[in-house]
Amino acid sequence: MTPRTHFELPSDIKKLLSKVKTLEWLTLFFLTTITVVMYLVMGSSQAMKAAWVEDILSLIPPIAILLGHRFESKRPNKDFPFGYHNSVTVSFVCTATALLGFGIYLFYDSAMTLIRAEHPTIGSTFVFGQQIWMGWFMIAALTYSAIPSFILGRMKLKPARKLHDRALFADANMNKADWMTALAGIIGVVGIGLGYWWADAVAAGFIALDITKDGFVHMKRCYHQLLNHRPTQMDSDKPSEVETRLNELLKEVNWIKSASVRLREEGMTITGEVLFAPWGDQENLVEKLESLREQSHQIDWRIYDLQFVPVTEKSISINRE
Amino acid sequence: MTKDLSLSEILAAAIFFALVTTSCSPFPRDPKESLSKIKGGELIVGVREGYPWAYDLESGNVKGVEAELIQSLAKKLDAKVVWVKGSADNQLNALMNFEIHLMIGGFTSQNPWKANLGTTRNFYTSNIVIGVPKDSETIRSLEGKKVAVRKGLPYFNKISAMGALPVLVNNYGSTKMPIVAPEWQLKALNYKKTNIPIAKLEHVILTPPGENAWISELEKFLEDNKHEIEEKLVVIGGAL
Repeated sequence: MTPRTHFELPSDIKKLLSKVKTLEWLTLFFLTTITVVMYLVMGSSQAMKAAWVEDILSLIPPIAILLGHRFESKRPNKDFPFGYHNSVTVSFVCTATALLGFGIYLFYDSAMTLIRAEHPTIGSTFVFGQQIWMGWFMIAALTYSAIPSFILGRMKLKPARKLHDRALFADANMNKADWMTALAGIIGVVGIGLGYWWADAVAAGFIALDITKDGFVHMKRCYHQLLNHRPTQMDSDKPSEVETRLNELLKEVNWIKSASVRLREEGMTITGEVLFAPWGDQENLVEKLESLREQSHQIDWRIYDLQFVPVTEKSISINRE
Repeated sequence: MTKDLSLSEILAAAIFFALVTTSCSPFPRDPKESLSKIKGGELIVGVREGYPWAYDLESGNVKGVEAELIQSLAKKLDAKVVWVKGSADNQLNALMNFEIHLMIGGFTSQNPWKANLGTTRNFYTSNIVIGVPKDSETIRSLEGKKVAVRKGLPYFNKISAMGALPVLVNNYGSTKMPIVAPEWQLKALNYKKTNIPIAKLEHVILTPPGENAWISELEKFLEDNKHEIEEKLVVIGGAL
C-alpha cells in the first residue's frame, strides 16, 4: 500500500492558515463568553433561548475547522493512503445535521408557544436600589452577542476565499449573519415590553428558520463534496478556473492527441484524473509524463496528486459524450 | 442576498427603535392591562393556607405576612382587596386565565407552576436551620441526636438522612430538643441557631403570566418594604 505524496503548502498559505487558527480560537473564546452571558439573562424568553442555542451551535464549526486543519496536514500513511483531506467535510456533516435538527425543533417549540398563547414573564431586578427591567439586560446581551461574531465573520471571509476553504467560508457567513439573530431577539424583547406577548415567539421562529437554513446550506455543500462534485468557484456554481487552465495546458502538449480531465475537491486540494491519448507510440513516455505532471501541479497551489491515465482516443470521445 | 449594511448602522437603528418605542409610553406594558385595571379598582387576591404568610382564610379577613403586605399595596394603588375563596387548583387556573391578579400563601421558587404562571423575583430568603434552646449547648452535628420536627414540615426524611433521630411534635413551644425551623422562627421562639443548614426557601408571589408592568410594580413594592418582612415574621410567626 503506497501512500500518496504529502501535500506541501506554499509559505504564504501556511501563514494564512496560522492567521485563521488565531481567528477561530478568538471565535471560540468570544462565543463562550456570549453563551454564558445569554444563559444568565435569558429567563423565559423564547427568542433568547433560540439565540442562545444558535450561539452554542456556532461553537461547532470553529472546533471542526481547527481539528480538521490539524488532521489535514497529517502525512498520508499505510492506513490512510489517500491522506486526511476530507476530514473537515466529515465534521461538517455532523454540524449540518445538528443545525438542521435543532432548527426544526426550535421552530416547532416556538410554534407551540404561539399556539398555546404562552405569555412570557419578564420581571425586574434591583441594582443599587434602582429597579431595572430584565428586558434591558436581555437587549444588552443580544447586542453584545452580535458584535464579536460580526467582526470575526468579516475577518474570516478573505482568508476563506484565498484558501478556497468552504468550511471556513460557511463559518464566516454564519458568524456574519449573527447580527440578524440579535436584531430579531431585540425586536422580540421590545415587543414583549410593548405588550405584544407573541413578538417573542415570532422572533424565535425566525431565528429557528435561520438555523435550519444554515443546516441546509451546509448539508448541500457537504453532500457535493462527499459525492466528488466538479470543482466550482466559491461564490457560484460555475466550474473552477483550475479546470479551464488545466485543459488549456493539455491542449498545448504536442505529444498528446486528445485529453480529458476528471477533477474533484478534497478539502483545500483539487485532485483527480487526466485521461490522455498520445499520438501513436511514444518514446520516453514516463519521463514526458513526469514532466507534464510537474507542470500541471504548477498551475495552482491547490492541485495535488493528479493521476495520468493513458487511454485510446475512442475512450476519451466516449467519456466526453 | 442581504445588502452588506455596516454593523454600526444596524445597531444604531435597533437601539434607536428600542428607545423610541419604550419612551413613548409606560414600559413594560401588560398585555391584559392588569395594573391599570387594579389602580382605583379591585385587587383580586387568591389565597392558599400557608402560615405565617397567609392564614385564617375563612374569616373573610385574611391574616399573615403576605396578606398584610398586599393590603398595604392595595392602599397604595387605591384599590379594594377582594379575597378569593375556592380550591387552590381553581385559583391557579383563574390566575392562569387572568381572572385574578395574584396568589399568596408562602409560595417559593420551587413551585411546580412557574412554567405556566408568572412569579415575582425572590423577595425573601428563608434559611431553614437547626436551632437549640437558648440555654443549651450549641451542636455541630446531628449524628444520633433527637431532633423535634413539627408535623407538616417536609424535613423528616432529610433529618434522618443526616443521621439524626427525628421526633414528630405538634408545636415547638415546650420542647428542650433541637428543632428544625426557619431562622426568623428561632428568633421568635428565643432559640439559638446552629451552623447546620437544612434548606433554603426563596419566597415568591404568583402572578398571571406575562403581565410585566403589574409584576414590576409588585416587585418594587416588595423591595421597598423588605425590611418590614423580617419584623412581621417574628411577630406573627412566633406562635408556632
